[in-house]
Amino acid sequence: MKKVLEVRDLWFRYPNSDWILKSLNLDVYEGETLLIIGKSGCGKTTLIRTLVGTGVNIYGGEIRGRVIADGRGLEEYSVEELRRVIQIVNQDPRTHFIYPNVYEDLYSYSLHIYGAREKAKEILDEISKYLGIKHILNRLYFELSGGELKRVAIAKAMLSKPKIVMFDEPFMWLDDIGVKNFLDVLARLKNSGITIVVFEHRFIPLINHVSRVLKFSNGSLNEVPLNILKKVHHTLFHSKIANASSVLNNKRVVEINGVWFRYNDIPILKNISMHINEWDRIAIYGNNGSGKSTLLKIIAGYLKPKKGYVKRFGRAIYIPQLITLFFTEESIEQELKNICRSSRNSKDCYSKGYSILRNYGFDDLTQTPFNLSWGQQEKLAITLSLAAGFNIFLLDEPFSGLTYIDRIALIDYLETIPGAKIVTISSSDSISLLRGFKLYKLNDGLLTEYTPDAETLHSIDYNTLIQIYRD
Amino acid sequence: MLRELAYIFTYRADLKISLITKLYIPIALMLFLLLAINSKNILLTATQLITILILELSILMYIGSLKRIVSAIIFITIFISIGLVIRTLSIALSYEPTALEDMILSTLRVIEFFLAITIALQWIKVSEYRWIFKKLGLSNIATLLTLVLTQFSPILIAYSEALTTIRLKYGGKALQKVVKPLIIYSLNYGRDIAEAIYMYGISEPDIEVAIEKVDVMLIVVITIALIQLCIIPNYVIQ
Repeated sequence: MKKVLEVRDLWFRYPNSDWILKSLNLDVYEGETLLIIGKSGCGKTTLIRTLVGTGVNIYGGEIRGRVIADGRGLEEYSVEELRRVIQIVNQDPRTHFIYPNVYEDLYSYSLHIYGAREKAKEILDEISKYLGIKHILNRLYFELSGGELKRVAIAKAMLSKPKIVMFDEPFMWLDDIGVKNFLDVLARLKNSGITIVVFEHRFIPLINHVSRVLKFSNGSLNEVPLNILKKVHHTLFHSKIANASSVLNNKRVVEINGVWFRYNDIPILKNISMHINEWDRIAIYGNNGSGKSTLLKIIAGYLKPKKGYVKRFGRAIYIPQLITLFFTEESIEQELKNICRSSRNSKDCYSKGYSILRNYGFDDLTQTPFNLSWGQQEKLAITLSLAAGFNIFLLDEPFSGLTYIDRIALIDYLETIPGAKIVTISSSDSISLLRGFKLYKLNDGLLTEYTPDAETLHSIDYNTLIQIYRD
Repeated sequence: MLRELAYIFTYRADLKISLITKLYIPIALMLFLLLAINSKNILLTATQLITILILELSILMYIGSLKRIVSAIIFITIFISIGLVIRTLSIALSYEPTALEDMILSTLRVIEFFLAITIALQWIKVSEYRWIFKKLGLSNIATLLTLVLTQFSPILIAYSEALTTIRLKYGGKALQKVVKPLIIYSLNYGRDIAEAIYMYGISEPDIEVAIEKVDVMLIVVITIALIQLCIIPNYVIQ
C-alpha cells in the first residue's frame, strides 16, 4: 500500500519547554483509518500541530526530523498547497468559522479554493449532499447542536478534497446522538477512500471503525493490537448502578418539588421532583440541550424555577463543564484563602482546608491550578469546595475531557468525598463506570429513573486498560 | 442576560436585500432622529417618534424573529426605567427634574437611535462589514471585526458560565474574580482560532451590491415616510 504520510525521527518542543515529540516515527497508508490514543496531556494535539505546521508557525516551536506528506517534505509545501493534502478538524469546531452563517462560511472558503463561483457552488453542493448537511446550511453555526457543528466542520475540511483528514478528539462535547452522527460521517469518508487519522482517548465507540491503533506515550508512538482494545469491553456488566449505596441515617440535603423551567417560553424542565440525601451519588444522563445544566443551576439556587420549589439543607457548589472557569487564583493556596473568605469561619476553614488538600494528595500548594491536568482540576475544584464547607457538589459533565482511566479515578475519588454528588453525563459510555450511582434520564423535560440496556452496560476491563496505558 | 445579548449580532442570511438598502435605511433613520425631530410641539414629536418606532419594530420583525422584538422591548424598558429612577432621585434630592413628557420623549429618541444601530448590526452581514472596511482600505480592521463579530456569541456564552460559577463559589461577593479565568479562556480560544485560520485562511466574501425590485420598494417607502414626517409637522404648526 502507498504511504501518504511518513514521519521519520521527529522531534518537537515549544519555546522554553522540554522535547514533547522524541524521535517519533509514523507511517500512514492510503485509505486506512488510524486511531491514536494516549493519556490526557501526553502531546496528541502537539503531534497534530507539528504535522500541519502550526507548531512552528503559530507557537514558535522547534522541529527536527522529517515529515513527508504525499511524497513531498512538509517544508516544500505552501500553506495553500498543504490544505489540499492534510486537513484538520479541531476539538472545538466553532473555531473554524470566519462567518457566522454556515452557507456563507463554507461558500466563501470554497470560492477561496476554486476561484470560480460555479465550481465553488458545485463542490459545496456535492459535499453538503454527501455529508447530509443541506438542511442546516442556512443556520448560524452557534445555533447548531454539537453533532451538527462537527459535521459542518468536517464538510469545511473536505471542501479542499484533501488526501488525509485528522480529527483531534472528535467526541469532545458530543452526546450519544453526536457520536452516532460522527461515526456515520466517518463511514462515508472511509467509503470515499480518504485516509483518516483520529486522535481520541474515548476509543470504545471507534473500535469497530478503525484499521490500526497506535498509542502515544513518552513522545513516541507504539502499535496496540486491535484485539486488546476489543477485550476492554467484551463482557456484559453486572450493574452496580442498581445497587446504589444506601446509608443509614442519610440526611436529606435537597428537596425538589414540581419544578418547571422555561427558556423563551419553551419548557425545558417539566414537573421535576427529586430528593437528594447527604451521601447520594446521582448521575443525570441526557443529550446536549436536554436541560441538565439548567437543572444543576436550579438545584444550586442560581436559577429560579418558574413553578415548584427547591429546598436546600446545605451549601451547593456548581463545577462547570469548562473546568478552568472555576479557578481564579495563581496558586492552590490562594484559591483556598479566597474560597474560605466566603465561609463563616475563614481561619478555621483555611487550617482545615490545608489538611484536607494534603490528605487528598495536593501537596504542593504553590502550583497553579491552570497547569494541572483536566482530571486533577476536577479533583481540586471538589476538594476546595469541600474545604470551604460545601456539601452539595454539582458537577456539569465532569467526564467529557477525561480518559477512561481518569474517569474511573474521579469516580473513586467522589466516593471518598462526604456530601451529595450530582453529575451530568451526555454519553452512555460512562454509564458502566458509575459504580454506586443512582441513574436518572432527562429527556423532553422529564426526569425519570433510568435502567440502561445490556448494550450500554458493557464492562470496562480495568486491568486491560491499565495494560494499554502502561508506559 | 448575557446570552440574550449574544443574539444582538445574529442575522438572517437568507434575506435577499442589497447591501445598499441595508446601509441606506439605518443611516436614513439615524439622520432623521438627529436632524429632523420637531421638539417645539410635544404632540408632533410624539407622533414622529412613535411612527419611527413602529417602522423600526416592523423592520426588526422582518429581519428576524419575535426574540429580537422581545430584546428590543427589554432594551426600551431598561432605558425608560433608568430615566425614571434618575428623575425620582432628583425629586428626592430636591433638584428640579425635567418634565416627565420631555424625559420620555428624549429617552425614546435615544432608544430609537440605538434600535437603528441594532438594525444595522442585525441586517448587515459580517461578511458585508468586512467588504465595506476593505473597500475603505482598512483590511486589518476588517479582519479583526469579522473575527470579533463571528466569535462574539460563543465567547459571551462562556462568560455567562464563568459568572454563574464565580457567583456560586464566592457567594456573589467577588465578581471581579471572574476576570482571570475569562482572560485565560479567551487566550486559549483565541489561540485555537489562530490555528484554524492558519489551516483554512480567511476567505473573502462574495458580496452582491445590485439593486432589485424589493430594494427599490423599501427605499422608496422609507424615504416617502421620512419626508412626510419631516414636512407635515411644519404645516400643522403653521
